[in-house]
Amino acid sequence: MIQLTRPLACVFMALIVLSQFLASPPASAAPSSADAPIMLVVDSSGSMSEDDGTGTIKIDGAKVALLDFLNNISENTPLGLLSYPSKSGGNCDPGLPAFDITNRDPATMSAFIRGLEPDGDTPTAEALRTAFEEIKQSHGSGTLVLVSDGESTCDPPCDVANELADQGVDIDTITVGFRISDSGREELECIADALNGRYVDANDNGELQGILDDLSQPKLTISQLSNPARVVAEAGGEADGRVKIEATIKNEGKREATDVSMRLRFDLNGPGVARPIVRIGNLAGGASLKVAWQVWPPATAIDHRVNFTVIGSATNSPTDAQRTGTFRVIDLNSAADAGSILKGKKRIAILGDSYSSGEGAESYIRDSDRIGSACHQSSDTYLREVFALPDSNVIACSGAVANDISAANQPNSKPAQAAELAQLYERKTGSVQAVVMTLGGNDFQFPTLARSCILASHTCDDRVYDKPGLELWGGTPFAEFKNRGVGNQGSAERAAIKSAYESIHAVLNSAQAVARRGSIAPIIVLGYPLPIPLTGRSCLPMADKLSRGEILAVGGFALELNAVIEGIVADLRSEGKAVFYVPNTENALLPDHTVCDPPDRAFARSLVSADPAVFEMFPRITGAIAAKNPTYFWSKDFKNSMRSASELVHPNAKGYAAVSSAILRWTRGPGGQAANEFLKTVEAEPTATLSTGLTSDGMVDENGNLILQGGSRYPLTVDGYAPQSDASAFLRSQPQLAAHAVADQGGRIKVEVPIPSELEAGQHHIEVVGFGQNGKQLKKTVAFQITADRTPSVGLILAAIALVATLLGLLLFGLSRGARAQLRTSALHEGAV
Amino acid sequence: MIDEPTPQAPGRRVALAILWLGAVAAITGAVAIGWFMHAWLDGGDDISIDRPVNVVQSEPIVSGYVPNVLGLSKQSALQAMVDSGVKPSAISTEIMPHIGDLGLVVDQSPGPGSKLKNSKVTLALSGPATMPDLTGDTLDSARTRLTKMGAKISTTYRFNQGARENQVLTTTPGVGQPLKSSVELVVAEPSTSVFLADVEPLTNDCNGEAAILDGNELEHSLVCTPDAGQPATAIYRLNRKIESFAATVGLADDGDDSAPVRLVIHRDRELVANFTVRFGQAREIKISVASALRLTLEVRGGGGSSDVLDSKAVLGNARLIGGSSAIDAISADDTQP
Repeated sequence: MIQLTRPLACVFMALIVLSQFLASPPASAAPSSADAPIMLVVDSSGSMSEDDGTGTIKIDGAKVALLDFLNNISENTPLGLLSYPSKSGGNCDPGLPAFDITNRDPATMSAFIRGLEPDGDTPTAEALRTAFEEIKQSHGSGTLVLVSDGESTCDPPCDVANELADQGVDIDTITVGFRISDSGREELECIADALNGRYVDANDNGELQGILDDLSQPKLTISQLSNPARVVAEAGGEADGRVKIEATIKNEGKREATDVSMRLRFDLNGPGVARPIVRIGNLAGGASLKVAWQVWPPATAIDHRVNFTVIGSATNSPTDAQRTGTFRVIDLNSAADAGSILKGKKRIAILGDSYSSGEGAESYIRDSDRIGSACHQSSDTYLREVFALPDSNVIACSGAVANDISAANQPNSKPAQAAELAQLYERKTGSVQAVVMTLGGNDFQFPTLARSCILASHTCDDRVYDKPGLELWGGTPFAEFKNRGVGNQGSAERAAIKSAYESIHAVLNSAQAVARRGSIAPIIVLGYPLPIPLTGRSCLPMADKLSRGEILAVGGFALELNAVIEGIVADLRSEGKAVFYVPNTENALLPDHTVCDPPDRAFARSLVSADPAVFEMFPRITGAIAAKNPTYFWSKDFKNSMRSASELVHPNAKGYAAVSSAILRWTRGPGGQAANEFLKTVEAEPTATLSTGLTSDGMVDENGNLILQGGSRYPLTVDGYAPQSDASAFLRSQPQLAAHAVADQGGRIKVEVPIPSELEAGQHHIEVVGFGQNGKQLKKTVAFQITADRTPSVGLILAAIALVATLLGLLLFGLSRGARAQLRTSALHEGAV
Repeated sequence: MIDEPTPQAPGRRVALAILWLGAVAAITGAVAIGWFMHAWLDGGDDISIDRPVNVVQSEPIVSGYVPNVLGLSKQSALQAMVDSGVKPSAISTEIMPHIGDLGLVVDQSPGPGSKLKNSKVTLALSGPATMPDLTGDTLDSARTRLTKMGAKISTTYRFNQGARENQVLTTTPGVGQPLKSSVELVVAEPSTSVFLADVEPLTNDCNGEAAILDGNELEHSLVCTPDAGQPATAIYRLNRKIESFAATVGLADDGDDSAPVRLVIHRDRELVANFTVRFGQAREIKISVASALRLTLEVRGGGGSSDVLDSKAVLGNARLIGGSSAIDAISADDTQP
């Protein structure tokens, strides 16, 4: 067994156990039998002088068992002993109790036990009656233990038992057949049945001792233990990543176990304390209780076997009950573990916003981590490492909104993401095979809410402040903030997000791309991982920054945001688009890897680890300090603060790995399988025919991209519409109605589309929306590009002029020196001559 | 004459060699496959987790009630408490000696499930633990204390004269030593006894039989009838291991009621009892015989005279009391004549 070193073992702190009691009655609810009197009735007839099968005389074994019982039983338990038959009476005389039921006194009682001698007949019925009366008279109720090795030789015991049962006295009867004959057993069973008790076989003195031990002390056992054999590491609180350990502790003894506790222990050999401790209270004889733990093993346990022990103990139990189990932690986080929808895919593009670009994961790529760029892109974002994707496949950009899919983001100098997607791989091995993305959070102002909750000194569950430094100016009531965005069914944001997905679909699954690839490519939209605890538990380390109410507000908003996105995705799928929603990623940081958890456990940029300056930054920017010190904006401190502010509430590298795991789980699960089936039903975006009057060579570049020029009008022909139906053509890059037309008798629409001169360079598309011949809405899309203005900049011209001038100057200088030298030589020659 | 080797011999050797090599290859392959199958099925190395397992909650957190935070790290315990409505300023911590990892909640007050009434909450966090001095404590008390410190307890019983039943005699590890996960307690076992009637005496003038004293039947009695001028004597070997001698002493109900007798008891040579036994005046006696080698019981006629006949002195249910090993040894000792 490998014992982890201490530093490595620290990683195991991520093991989270949720201990809970399952359906069981309260342990102390059962009646206590701790101080109930016990009357022992022991057959000491002649047959007890026989061997018990182990080489021990029966009566000697019985003496050992009885003496042991006497020593172990609680000091408070009243005890009586009757051995039968009487040594001085007749054959059927049971005699009197050796000692009446009285307080336990080993110093006196043990001599009677040692004095037992086997002799005489077996008046079981008479002894039963005597003992019954003793209990009845002395205490009114109690436990009667009858030990016999043979058949009764006097009155029929069964009849006597029935007669006693009619008295209705509460006596718990246990009959023990000590290596007994079948007929003798039947008698004792009949007695037990009549008195509503139980019969037990004791085949030798060891078993007899065990039976008596059960009466004298609690006997704890872990009667049931269940757990899965295998579990996936770090599955975000989902079922396949959870080890549910259920253990049932039972007190098989008669005596109540006091202050029972259950513990789960993972260090079988070490001296560590078993935990968690679950205090059960007292457990009555015969009672049981089930305790369950839920364990989420960490990634560091992958490929290891985890052994555990469940321990039950009671303060008055001489031995602990324990039972061991094991489970194996497996890893299903490699590309080979992906479901069909992503299996074997090597060209996956990551689009969308900061939750896809890898904000918070560090390892930022290219020049994305610089002042002036809000577009952090990380090599540690989800799926990149799993599928060995090149950095260029990370197209997502921090702060991206829906419009950035089809239009360039000028502040970040980023082209439209759809255009980048179209260019990706086009020149090499074929089009992208899948897009994975997050989008919509920025459109619905989730960052504003998060910033307001964390940075503002007022609570965001009341009012939302767009800029924390301006909070004194009022802010927007939270309900209004929510309703005008994520809570508004008809909001422009929803339409924009839907349009963004459509744009990506048009590029990804254009007829040309599908033909080249040979299949439809999915757009996999991820639910935003909840960065805060789902249950609304307190964010204790940062309680002054994020109250419980704020956690609920942020969590509720995030859940609603995901629901909206899921709805948009469902709409698109109903329209035949290969867009799928992954709900699993929502829980990737749960239950205890959130911003509220310690940095060593958090899968997100923990608030605890955030640069403290962040919490001062916004007031400083808007306050007099910044005004007095403008150089602050160029300082490293400012850059770090800006970065830290951007990273807030985003996953860290471990968090993105957890998102990867969640995606892979989805691909393997029913959702991914259904999506893969759905792909087979999706058709490529219909080809629209553009007739421009120009040669095709002039329209299409060397990569097959359609190139148009702003300020021109282009005739567009699209087929497949209902005859005489209306249709509209939209420019989707900068949403505007471009043209309106009516389909001809053949369902063909011919329309001239004006391309605005101000249209930015990059990827765009024209969307023709009408009705198909089946009466349903029909939307066809054609993508095109506007090339960048190739007019050289003034700076470049000046630089070129300067370069030319310099070269000319150097040339002239060289020529002049050469000419002078030639003149000097000529003069010398002339002088010589 | 030397036979020519048969033409088949080289071929047979080759065949045997191939067969042998094939068998070796098959065994080697089977071992290799078995090994890999084992590795594949068994899943690599064991791993043990020697870090605390954190309880997020033991039951759904209900605001207004104290949650169960036992076993939690301090951080998680504070979290659970605050989630239940306890103000951070109302939570205090203290260190309690405990085995294993430090800084975990090993006790809490108020206990789980208690209703919060603006009361303060105290969490006991595990700290370094050494063996406390439990000598003289009861077993229950020691067990409770050690269990709270996380120890697993094993108990050994030993008779100790003068010690109460279940009184702790010694501990391992010793007082002040670092506490280990397993602790062994040696505790005093209860006294046990055996009837003198069931013990072989060195010499005996008395009979082991049932007798009736003051109306009570005492089944395991010694009945001693002194002869004229000659006391009835019974001597028992004690081996210095018996704690005490006890009996109900009187004159048998069915004997002479007019003549008292005298009971003289010696512990070795030391006189420890000398009194008159009268009819109808049975009395309980218990005499210490600690460290004695012998017990001598002597019943003399009243005043030592020789005119007393038929008075039956009864040592009802007379028994020796001591530790189980000593009593068992006395009971089983058949070396006494």
